[in-house]
Amino acid sequence: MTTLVTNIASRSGGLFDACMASEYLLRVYFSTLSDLGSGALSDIHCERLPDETEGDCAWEALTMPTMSPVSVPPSIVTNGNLARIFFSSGEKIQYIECSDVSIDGTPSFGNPVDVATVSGVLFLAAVSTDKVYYITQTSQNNRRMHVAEESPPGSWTATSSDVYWPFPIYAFDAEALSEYDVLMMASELSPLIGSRAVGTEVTTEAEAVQGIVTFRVANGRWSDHDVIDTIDQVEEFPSRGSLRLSQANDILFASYTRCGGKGDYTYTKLAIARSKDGINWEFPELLDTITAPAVVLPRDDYLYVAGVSCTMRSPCCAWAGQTPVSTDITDYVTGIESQAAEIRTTRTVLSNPGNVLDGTLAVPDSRVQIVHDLGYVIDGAGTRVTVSTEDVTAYGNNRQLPRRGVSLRSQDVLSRINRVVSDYATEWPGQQAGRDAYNDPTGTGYGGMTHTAPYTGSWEASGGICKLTSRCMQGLAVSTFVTDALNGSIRAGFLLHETDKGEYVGVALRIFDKDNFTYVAYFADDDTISLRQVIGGDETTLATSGAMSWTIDGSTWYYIMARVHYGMVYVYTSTDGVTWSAVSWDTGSAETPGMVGFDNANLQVWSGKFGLIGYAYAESAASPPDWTPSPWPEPKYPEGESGVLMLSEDKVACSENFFDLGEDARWEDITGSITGTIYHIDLGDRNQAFLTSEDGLWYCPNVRATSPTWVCIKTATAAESEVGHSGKFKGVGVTPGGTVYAPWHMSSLGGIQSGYYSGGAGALSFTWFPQPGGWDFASSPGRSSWCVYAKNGIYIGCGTGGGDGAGLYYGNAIERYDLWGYVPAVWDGYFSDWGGNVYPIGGGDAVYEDTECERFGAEMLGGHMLYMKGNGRYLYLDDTLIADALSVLGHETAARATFWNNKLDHIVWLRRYSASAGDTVVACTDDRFINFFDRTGNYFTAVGTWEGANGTSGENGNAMCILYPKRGITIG
Amino acid sequence: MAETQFIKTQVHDGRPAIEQENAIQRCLAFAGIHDTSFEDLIWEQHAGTLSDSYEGSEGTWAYSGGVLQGTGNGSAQWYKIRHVTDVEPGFVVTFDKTSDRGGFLFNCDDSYNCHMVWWQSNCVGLSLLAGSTGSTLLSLPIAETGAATVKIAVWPRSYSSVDEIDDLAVMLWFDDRHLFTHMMPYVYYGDAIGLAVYESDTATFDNLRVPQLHHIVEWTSVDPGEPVSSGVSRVIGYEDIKMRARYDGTVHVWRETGSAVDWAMSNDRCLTQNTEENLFWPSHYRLVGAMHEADGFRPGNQGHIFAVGQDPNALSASETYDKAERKHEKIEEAARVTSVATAPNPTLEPEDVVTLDGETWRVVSINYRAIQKGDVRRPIAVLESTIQMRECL
Repeated sequence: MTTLVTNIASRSGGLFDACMASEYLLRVYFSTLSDLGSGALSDIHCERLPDETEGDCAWEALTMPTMSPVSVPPSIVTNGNLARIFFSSGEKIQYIECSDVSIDGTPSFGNPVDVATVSGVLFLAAVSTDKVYYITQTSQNNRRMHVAEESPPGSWTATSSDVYWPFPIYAFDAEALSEYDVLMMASELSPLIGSRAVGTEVTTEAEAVQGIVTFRVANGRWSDHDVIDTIDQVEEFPSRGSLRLSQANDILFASYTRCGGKGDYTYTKLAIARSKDGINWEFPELLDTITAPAVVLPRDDYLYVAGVSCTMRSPCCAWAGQTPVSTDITDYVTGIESQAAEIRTTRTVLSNPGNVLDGTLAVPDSRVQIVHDLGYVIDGAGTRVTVSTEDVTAYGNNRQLPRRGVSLRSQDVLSRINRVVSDYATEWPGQQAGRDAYNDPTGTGYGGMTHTAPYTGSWEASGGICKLTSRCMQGLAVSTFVTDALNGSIRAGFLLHETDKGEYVGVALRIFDKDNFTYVAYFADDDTISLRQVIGGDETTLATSGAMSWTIDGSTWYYIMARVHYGMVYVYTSTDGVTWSAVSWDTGSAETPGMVGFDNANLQVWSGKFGLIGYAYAESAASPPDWTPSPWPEPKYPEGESGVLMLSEDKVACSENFFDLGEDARWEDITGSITGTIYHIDLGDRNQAFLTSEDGLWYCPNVRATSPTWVCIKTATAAESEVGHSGKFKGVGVTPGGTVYAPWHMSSLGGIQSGYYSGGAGALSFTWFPQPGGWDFASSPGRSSWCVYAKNGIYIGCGTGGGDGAGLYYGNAIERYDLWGYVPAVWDGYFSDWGGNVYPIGGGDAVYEDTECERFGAEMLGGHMLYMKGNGRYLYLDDTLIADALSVLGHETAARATFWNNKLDHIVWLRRYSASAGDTVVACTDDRFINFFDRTGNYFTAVGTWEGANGTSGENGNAMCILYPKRGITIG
Repeated sequence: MAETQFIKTQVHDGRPAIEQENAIQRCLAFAGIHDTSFEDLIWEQHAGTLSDSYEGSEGTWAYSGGVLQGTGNGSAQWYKIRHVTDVEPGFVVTFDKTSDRGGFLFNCDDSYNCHMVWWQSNCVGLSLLAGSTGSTLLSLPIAETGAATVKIAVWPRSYSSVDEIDDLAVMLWFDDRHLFTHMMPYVYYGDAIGLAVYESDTATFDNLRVPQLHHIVEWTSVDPGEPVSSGVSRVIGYEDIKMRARYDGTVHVWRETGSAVDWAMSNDRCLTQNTEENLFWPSHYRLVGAMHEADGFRPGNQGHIFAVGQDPNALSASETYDKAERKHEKIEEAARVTSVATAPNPTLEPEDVVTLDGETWRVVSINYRAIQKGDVRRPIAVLESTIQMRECL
């Protein structure tokens, strides 16, 4: 890459693609307001670059139609001179088409055409004008790939893969080869999980692993994945991204952002790897100057790398499968010596009279190959035979008067295996499989556990049978055979003896330790099979079968198999261990939760271990006396890897050292240009923040920045004008993908439907809620959106207040409706009404009644409801009183809305005596306030007036968030 | 109170099966070498005569349009055909299929006592066949219909002793999508592989391939700071696998087994020839493997000369014996070498086989030198070429 064709420094971001169209290069670029996760865009460009053989040319702009893509990277594909640009409009996948990009003048694209109605598209990639792959996120936070194909023309059909990819994806692209399509994505991968003793407790640590993942699609069948170019000490986040695939001359080119190095030696470069088949990839080349995304495009005139901000070119070369630019140096050869054995090495000496070779390929300053021909001259006619094709590895400039010469040392291509050195643990492991025969050569009854390691309970094995000998406690034993963290299976036959005694037996998967695993078991009392997940010792039922009608008599064997395929667990049963039947679920689904972001890695202990699990009853073992003394717990403090963000009515403040013990917390006022009473804040995965105040909806691209800046992306005045009704932005929520949802709270407007703004900072759009059936408009006028929860699905609560009708919307559909007044708060799985009752989202009666800080102060902690009662004095976790404000905060009245569960299951509790004095900030971890500490510092100076500080009502300035979860964070 | 009991536990993880060829190819591609050529143990594009490649057909089998087509005779049984080339366990086979029902045989003897991986419209599985009858070992309700590239791996596992195969792991993929892995105790029937159709079905198969380097590799890696050659070395171990770059930049990888002559060099082409023979090559060669030792004897004229070698990658007794025999032969080959000065043959490459004056040699290295000597105003072109060769046995 030596020549810069063009450079547009004003362009940046990932919304870029490029391709070949006959003799043209095409590039498409969508601008963003800033580096957002989403947002409708208005600045859209498509340009072409003609052949440059006759001289440098400039990119020529094509005419674009009116369109409203959101910030999902576009995908441009061509068929001859026909070009299509596929994009997401937020609710649909669409394309625009230019029938001939080569015409003189200014070719133009037509209006958008619908491909599929699908919202929440994370990425899309077209492999041809009639085939586009795209990725969405399931309600369980798995990423699912789909493909939409056009056949016949004008008719699109979408099919979904059965791959439920459980990790966040940072980039995606696809290319079609002759036998299959290659899909490639930059993704988070199974984190490295380790344990560490801290005091008397063992904590679990996760280290982020990221990499490039490929799938192939052939015959409508989605292959298993391959991983290339991984990194497990992530210094830059993400370390792989902005991926683009291109193909020419039977070579696949993958280009992506590649970060590496440690400490002071980190780098971020554009990496380019090649492959002939999409399976075997080379160690990537790193390019300076061009930033990703960039597309490698060999053309007849040059080799191009077209990037978002600049395009570079080099002469045609064999590296890209082109007919290379070459120099015939036969006439200058004065000597050649070649030794061919395992690796051929050649020294070629050239005369260089008058420095005539200067500037030619014979005097290389870049990578050059030399081709040796030998042959014969018969009757004056020469016959040449190519003997070797070698890489020039050294160049010498020799002078021996009167001669001036050049020497080239070269080696054949096999020598590359000695020159290419990996900078990461490049691994291609094969499948591991094992069968445990449970034979005991020792004869002791304990020698048969050859490949089975007990984690809990007592086990023994001999004679082909493995026995769980302990009673009235769960036994877990782990197979030592396998290591892969994503897919695999386990099967076993089992024998149970009792019903109505709580017995169960089955197989376990993704086992990290005795408190973190998933299992499938037959529960004898219920006569059902259940899929359950255990995290931190807490168990969640994911799915339950209907009645199996199995005979439990101590002599009838049954068999169970769990087959893990990414985020899905397929369960089979058998009566003979030979013929298996799939288990169908009466309730729940076999989809296991995916990872939202690396900071919630604790929710997914990604281990590839399988094992056996069971519980057997024995009368003599039931209810053993509890003689174990309760030791005084050691303090357990959050580690200094997170900061805290706080709101008041008129300030936003953050503390980077909140968890750094031994020093005062330092608070920084980052309110900036925010005006109006502050209501609420939420953060996206990339530390972008959205905040509501009475003046509008505000956006900060990165609250981690040294001096965070705020932009009002929708003023209240503008919203009133657009919606046609006065109101406020109150609640705000951001999805893991970065889309903001901000209800427009229209108070006291009779008979008006409610609605919300959504999108990115660049272009928000307003959506009315549909009018649900059964809503009594006459008696419940003036409905208005209030709160929003956007982590595991979009929930928006609305209502009239005062005990009239209120609704909870999921997405844009009514989820529940009742006379709740407002629905002022929604959390993970629950919501509250104005009267202080907490309901499960999925339906049913209140699980907690008359909590007193429920409207703004309740939260979920480790899957349990955390709430205050007694005018904010008492803090409850489920039904357990875990803290008294009098002892913890020094005052029996705690401020309302004073804690906020963060992503790490740490909680922070705040109180203030009055609107302007008396702060106390207390932090604790999930050990139930046994350990807390005052981190007040100079918070008072930084955080200003707080409305309703002594009371429990009001909605202003009530949020506190934990910020900046870092790599390698302690999550235990 | 009796205990909760478990039996017949099996586990596998979701990784692919990678044989030596795949492993080497991944390493070479990682080094930027994408143009490679490997040799095949079996590669059937189904042209020519059926009996050249297959035997023991049941039902009707024929080449049709470049594919192998089999049709059953109507009874409720499998109709089978064997490939003439034996394949020892520890291989990955691939082929294309179009029909919804069919089977692949392995561990097969001439009477069709064998194992068979099979697929049909609503399930896939594994059976043990005894001639025309069979018993199912696994039937899993995974419905995968239509055309597919089938990949089957048969992997011997040893737990109790490196010298004994305890289990066979059998793995099935369609289009690189894993369908099942089944472990079963190993019982030897034979080394043949084959294909099968059921009842009156007509099934087609194509591109049946087993690579020459078909042994399954558990782990391939290039560690940080290591050149790719380290990863290649781990894959190859002590095996006699050749790897050479050819004239056009492709890399050829193969296990040298043949002695077909590439160039019959005439005597008058030879300017000089110097042959040297080390008379004291070992007549007795002992290879110390991982767990076993194997002795080989090749008669010489210098009495009994003993030598010892070692190969920690030779695990079983039979493998140690095979490797001892091959290494001993290579030692004897290397004991007699010749150097020939001749005008260069531009088509000759290392490891080619050359006949000269009634003897057969294998090319070790080719050196040539073309220089200009003398007065710079009247240079004299000098061309020198030497071929080093070892005896080809």
